[in-house]
Amino acid sequence: MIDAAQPSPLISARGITKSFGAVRALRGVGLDILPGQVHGLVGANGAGKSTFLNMLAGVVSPDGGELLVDGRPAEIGSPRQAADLGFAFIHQELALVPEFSAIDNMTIGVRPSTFLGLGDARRHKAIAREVAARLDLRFPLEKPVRDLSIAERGLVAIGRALVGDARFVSMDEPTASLSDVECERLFAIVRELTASGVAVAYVSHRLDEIEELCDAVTVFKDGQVVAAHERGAYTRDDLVLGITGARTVQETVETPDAPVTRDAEVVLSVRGLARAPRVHDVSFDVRRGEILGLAGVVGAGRTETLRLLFGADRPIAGELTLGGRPYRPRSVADAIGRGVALVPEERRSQALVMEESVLFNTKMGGWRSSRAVAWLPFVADGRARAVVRAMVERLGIKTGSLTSAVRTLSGGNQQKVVFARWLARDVGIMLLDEPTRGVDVGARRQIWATAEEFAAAGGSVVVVCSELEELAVCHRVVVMVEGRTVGEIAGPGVTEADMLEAIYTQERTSS
Amino acid sequence: MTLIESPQATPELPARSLASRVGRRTASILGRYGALIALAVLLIIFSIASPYFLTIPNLLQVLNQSALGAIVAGGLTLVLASGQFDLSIGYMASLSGIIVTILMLQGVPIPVAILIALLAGVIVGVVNGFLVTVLQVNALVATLGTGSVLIGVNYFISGGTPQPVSTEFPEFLQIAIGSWFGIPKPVFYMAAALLILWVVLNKTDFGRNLRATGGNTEAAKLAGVRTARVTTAAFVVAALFAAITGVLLASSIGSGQPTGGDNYTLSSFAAAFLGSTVLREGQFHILGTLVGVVTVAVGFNGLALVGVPSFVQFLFQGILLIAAVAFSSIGRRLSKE
Repeated sequence: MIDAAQPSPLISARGITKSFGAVRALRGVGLDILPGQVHGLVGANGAGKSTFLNMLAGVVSPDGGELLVDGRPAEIGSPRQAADLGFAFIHQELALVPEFSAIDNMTIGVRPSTFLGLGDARRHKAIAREVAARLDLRFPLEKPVRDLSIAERGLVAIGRALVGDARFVSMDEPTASLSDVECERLFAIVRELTASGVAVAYVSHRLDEIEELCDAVTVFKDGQVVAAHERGAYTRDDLVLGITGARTVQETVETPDAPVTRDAEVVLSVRGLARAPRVHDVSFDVRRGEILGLAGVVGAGRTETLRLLFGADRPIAGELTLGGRPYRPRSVADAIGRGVALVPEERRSQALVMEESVLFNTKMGGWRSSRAVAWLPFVADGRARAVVRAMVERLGIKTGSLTSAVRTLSGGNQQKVVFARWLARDVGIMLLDEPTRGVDVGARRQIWATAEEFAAAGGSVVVVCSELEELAVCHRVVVMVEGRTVGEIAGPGVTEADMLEAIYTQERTSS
Repeated sequence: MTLIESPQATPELPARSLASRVGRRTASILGRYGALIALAVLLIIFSIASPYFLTIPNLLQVLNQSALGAIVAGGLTLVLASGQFDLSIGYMASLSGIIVTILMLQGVPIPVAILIALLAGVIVGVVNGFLVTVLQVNALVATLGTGSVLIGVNYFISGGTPQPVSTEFPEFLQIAIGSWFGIPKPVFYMAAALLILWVVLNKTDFGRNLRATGGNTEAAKLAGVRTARVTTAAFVVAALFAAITGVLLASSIGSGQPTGGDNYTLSSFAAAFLGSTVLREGQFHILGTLVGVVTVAVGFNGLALVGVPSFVQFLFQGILLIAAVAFSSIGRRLSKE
């Protein structure tokens, strides 16, 4: 029987160790996860949180230590065994089958009810609908998930975990791709889960979420547990101190010193831009030296707008002017030729070749500029190396060497490599899509500082960021609702409340 | 705040972890050097088994036997590095041999005939690239299709019969038969072809763009690489080098054979995949492909010297390929665990 005051732990880890080659990912980790509680796991990228959860998922096996489930020693040798224990995982990289519908993806692990599972399609549909109702999913469940937005895919992954009647649900950065409204919905789901006795492990870089949601918090640093807190018995400083090992209180983004002069030259002008199904009528101007934010909920067409500006997709309507001349990029290479750059939403799949080096990834797409002789196709590696080394120093990229694979870098440093690529190519406009996603507190600040520096030096930035509070860095914010630009808020220091109000008043009137 | 005390000594299982560490190290070495170790083992075994094996004439013979296959496989390596496949290269080699000999028999000057055969290679490469990048046909299907079309064209122009040129065009035979400085001419062609391909893949911006495309096409495109162009160029290189091989093959056997080059498809894939396990884990590279070709040639030669029937050679090629790639992937997985 579970004692209400002091429930016995569902999962109990003692002295868990795990090494990957020379890297000691876990160095004696011990923690208890109680039923009916949200257990927060915080720490910088590479601190060991994901490795610990992967161990519970049966994806990696520990080198040493002891793991108890329900008080009994357990060895989780495979994901199947984890599932049999009632453990469900929502991984950072969503493991969905792109060709399958949301229904199929959610019910992929459901055991067939009859021989060969005949006639299960209807049952699956019913199960998925029930979960969709719980999650308040507003997109068609029959569509292949490849056609869904990244946030919608995240919700599908959460749905899959809910289908299995789990006793333990692990969420690794579940809100990274969600808008604020969707986050609130997720929190409600998490609370509902714990109220029914499920244990939840919750990994996030967003400390306000941790404070709001978690009953217990464990802080990881360098593969060790450095602190454990109970709800209400700690401050933000305690967490930051544990994560960074240094007391850095300032977490909010600094607002820019001065607004951009109203009469600064308009660099990029967008009028009536459209491409079905996501972008319907987008118009705005970007000035020299300006950081312009695009605010909106997931599905508002922000990413799609950036792709149109970058020549990755072709618009069906609209006029673009760049530097006073008409701008109709026929390809990404075209857009880059006109000085437009994009830092895409998903680093791993859209920006980097993970197995290749820092040097290779920084120069990717720009090797031509490192030719020894302009009219011969040979690369002067010494010159390329010098350029990249200068960038690594300027952006403070932490890497073993220029030839280390980017796979070995932390998320923040990987993102800086993408920034380095464009800064080395001397672009005029940077389009940033969720530039701080999955990046720890320190790197996040550096990334915003890099954007500010770029703007201050005469560049222009258009940024999409679902963490609205971070958009305070913008000189001006354009609000998008359902593929249309509906308003504009002048900065500096645009607040989250301003943006939410603009978004939601519009949404109400438009729907 | 509660600071947890530094963790107690873990109840590790020293024996198991030591064993697993040693196993991991071994696995990693096998993964990286497995193909080279296999080559060394073959060299040692055959040196012992046959006194004739480790002689200069025989080793030159091995290189000579490797040469034409290495040129096709080298071209294929670029396509594989760009993340695509080309199953039409063998048929391309056959066709170019037929084209060059038929044109010669029709009275076309030899250099012109050769140029037209190579041009056919370029055209086929462009078609393959177009199918894969513009029409977005899966490369396996697209090149299987073009391969079949090439067979059809081949039989249409040759009537399915060999085109002997040895009596009328001795100067054509001089291209591939004979030696310079005691080394068979094809070995020089192989060296030149692989050197060029190595430089293209490793030292040019095109080569870097090719690797980026093969590594992550979406990321390469969003970084400004014109991936469709790069991929098409890789197909052109592969088909062109297959066409070169076809001409050399016709020269060395003194006739255009309708199916003369067909086997190059299989042997090139075997060599390139075998080579992808050499030193660089799972990446296609020219040096690896060369090692792959030579390993297979050493095996064929040694087995023949020992007097094993020729069907065993194909068993050997198949098993060696599967074993090398399997060991390499197991090794990579274990060393990462």
